[in-house]
Amino acid sequence: MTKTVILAGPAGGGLNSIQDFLEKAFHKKGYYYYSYRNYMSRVRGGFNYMTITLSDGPLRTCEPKGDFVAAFDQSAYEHLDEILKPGGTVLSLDSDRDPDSEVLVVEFPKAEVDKVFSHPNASGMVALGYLAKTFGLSEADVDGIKLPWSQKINASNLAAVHYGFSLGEKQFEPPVREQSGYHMNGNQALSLGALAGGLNFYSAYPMSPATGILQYLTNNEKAMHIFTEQAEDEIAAAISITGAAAAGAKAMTGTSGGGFALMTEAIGLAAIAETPVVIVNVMRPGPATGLPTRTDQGDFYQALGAAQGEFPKIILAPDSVEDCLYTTNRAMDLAHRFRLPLILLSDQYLADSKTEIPEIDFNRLVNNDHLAAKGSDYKLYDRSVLESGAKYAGYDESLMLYDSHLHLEDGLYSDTIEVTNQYKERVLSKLSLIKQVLEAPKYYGDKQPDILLISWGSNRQILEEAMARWEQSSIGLLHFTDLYPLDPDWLEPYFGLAKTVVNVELNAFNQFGKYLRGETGFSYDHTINKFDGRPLSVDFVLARLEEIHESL
Amino acid sequence: MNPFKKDVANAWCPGCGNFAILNALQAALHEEGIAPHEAFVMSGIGQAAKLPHYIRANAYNGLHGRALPAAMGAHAANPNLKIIVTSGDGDTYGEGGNHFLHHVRRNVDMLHLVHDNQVYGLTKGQGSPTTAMGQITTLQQDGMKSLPVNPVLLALSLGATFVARAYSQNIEQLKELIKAGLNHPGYALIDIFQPCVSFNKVNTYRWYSDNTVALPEDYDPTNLELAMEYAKREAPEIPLGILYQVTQPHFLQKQTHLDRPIIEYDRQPEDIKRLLENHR
Repeated sequence: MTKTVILAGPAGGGLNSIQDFLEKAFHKKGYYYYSYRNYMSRVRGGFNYMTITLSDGPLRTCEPKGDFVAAFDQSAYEHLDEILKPGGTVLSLDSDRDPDSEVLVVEFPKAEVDKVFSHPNASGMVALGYLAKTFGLSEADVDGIKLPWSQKINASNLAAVHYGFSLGEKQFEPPVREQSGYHMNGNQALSLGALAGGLNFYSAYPMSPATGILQYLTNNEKAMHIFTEQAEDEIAAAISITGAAAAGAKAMTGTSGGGFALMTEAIGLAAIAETPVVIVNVMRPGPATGLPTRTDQGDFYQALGAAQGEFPKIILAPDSVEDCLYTTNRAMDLAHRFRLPLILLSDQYLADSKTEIPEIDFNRLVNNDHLAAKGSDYKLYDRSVLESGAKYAGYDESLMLYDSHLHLEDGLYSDTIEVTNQYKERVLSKLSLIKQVLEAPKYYGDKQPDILLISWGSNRQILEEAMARWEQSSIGLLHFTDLYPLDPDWLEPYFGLAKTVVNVELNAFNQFGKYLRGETGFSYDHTINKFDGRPLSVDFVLARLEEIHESL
Repeated sequence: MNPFKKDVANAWCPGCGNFAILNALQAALHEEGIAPHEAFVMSGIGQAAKLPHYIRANAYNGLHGRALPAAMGAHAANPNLKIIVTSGDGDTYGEGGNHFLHHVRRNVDMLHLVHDNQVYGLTKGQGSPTTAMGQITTLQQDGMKSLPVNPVLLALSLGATFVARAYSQNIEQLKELIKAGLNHPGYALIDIFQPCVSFNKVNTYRWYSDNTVALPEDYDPTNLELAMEYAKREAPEIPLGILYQVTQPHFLQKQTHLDRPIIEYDRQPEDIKRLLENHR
């Protein structure tokens, strides 16, 4: 059983609270869930909706349309084509609606609700109660929902939940299972991964959809004894982490595409000065302001080409909410091991996807210092040292000279031909070494696939779900989280494996696919590109696969 | 022997005012009992910003305009390091203007030496944010058409807790001002007049000597109104000395959840269990 609830209405209308209560109460009852926020870039009003897919088994993504749409205002009715499944039910929380005769509507008359419950957002609580009954929760389960307001408001809202409960009828049986794991979204998982890796300095300028990282880390700075700062701009944020790293901090910043553009000079600085930093780009569609609250994978080229000159760097892209934790932890370690800027590409889909992730495997998490012994002889830019064994300013009595120029081993500026060539050799040697420790793409699916999908980042679980439903042919997925540098050897087993290769990206340019082809010679015959600012969907993939399959 | 002295080739022009600033800084650090590994001298890009290469201490020569955010980061990572930022007028008030505004607001505990020669040196003679209106430069052949920034007045208006003006040739005074700045708990700005012998034909050694005066002996540096009045004074009576100094909680003192440098907390991956319970 998989059903989807959509909460649709204006920003500031209490949708977030209802979403939170629903996820927690339904999860506690045994349901698996995967939720995602579709919202506009505004503080009040507009058309926003929260999608919460509920199931008796683990979920890889959410469904785009709802079996139940709780319409908090008129705007939801204008978008029913987009958000309501055929035969779905609308829970009408707004008396001013113009009901569509084709749609089953359960009405909670606003005049009545408002009279009984003095709280302006009580109608959402009524819907919550109705859904609780529908999905087989008990009155005791409903009483267990933790409400965060004053006693008086909590009592009024709980009464509203019970009122909604009395209107509903049980339709679904909750699954029975052991409860475990954690609720979190991608930004929170990413923050936790960094903290596990020893993050102690985070500076950023607020920018959707990356702001959640700054918010989460600042909310928890006391518990974790870390420093966080709202920088005056993204340039300051990116520069400050290089300064912090030069004095021994484990430092990170986060932003989206526009802020990342401002940070690029600092990325080159971190590379040549060899200060280890992690720069997170939670992608949203560009160019310029673009679509602030939507998603895509349009910044791969930007990450690949960030900053002038040639230098060592690493680009990683987590493939799920859970993987945001592990890959960010690995990012912290790799940045410090190789003393370079590491660019982490997340996106709004992951940032605003919330789900249950299993118990944390602490064997997969590390916080290594990669430092030299105190008191040892040391040169900051020792040409014989390509990884680990670092010192920093104040570490011991050794003196550091961090420099943004080409430099000698002690950091002094030099522009000789010899030093210039030595730097390039260092860049190439480091990249060769890094290739050996990055993770090869992972293969999912049939052993001898007719169709081989290639993709990266947050598409992985959606593609797996599409593959699970694809019956017309055998199919496989070669999925990348480690994007740069690429080792051509990784691709050896896949040349000639499938009848056709399909590149899947949330952009129009096939940015990663073209780069992969250029670096390794591994090419594709077809593409699946989605670039409407919304996440990849199973139905979209299946429809395109159908077209491709017919053309074979 | 001063341990901050470094035997290294120097790229400044003969006669440049920067030499005096370097000497005064080395002397002040040594006389204050600071060891080279306890100091972190940080800069952006420009002629002044080359100074970190010329001093035996921890050093950081970063990007144009960006010394202050890097210094904030280093200070927040390890406040046991004595942070000295050394930058030019273009670096600080031009490219880095936004950072300057916000670092005054933060009151980060560091000493900031601005080598203010009122011209761009490294890029060969263009006007800087502190070049006088009408002054002819290698680029502005009809004279500067924008008003100059008054750095000390600007800093005072932003709530700076230590604002001083110095002249590189008054070496004793400069050294004493640097010591006072090193000992100031908070952001200490010293805007230092420093003649550019190659590109500024107006603000020469002679010009600065003729147009600067000492503050009165009974001057009260805790009076903001008075400081702003003196900060406004122009040639031939530009005052040298500490215009303003008050003690207020500095940036890291307001991070009350930290009782030691962040790098000194022992951290393990399992620490996130403290937060995971909030995700049940």
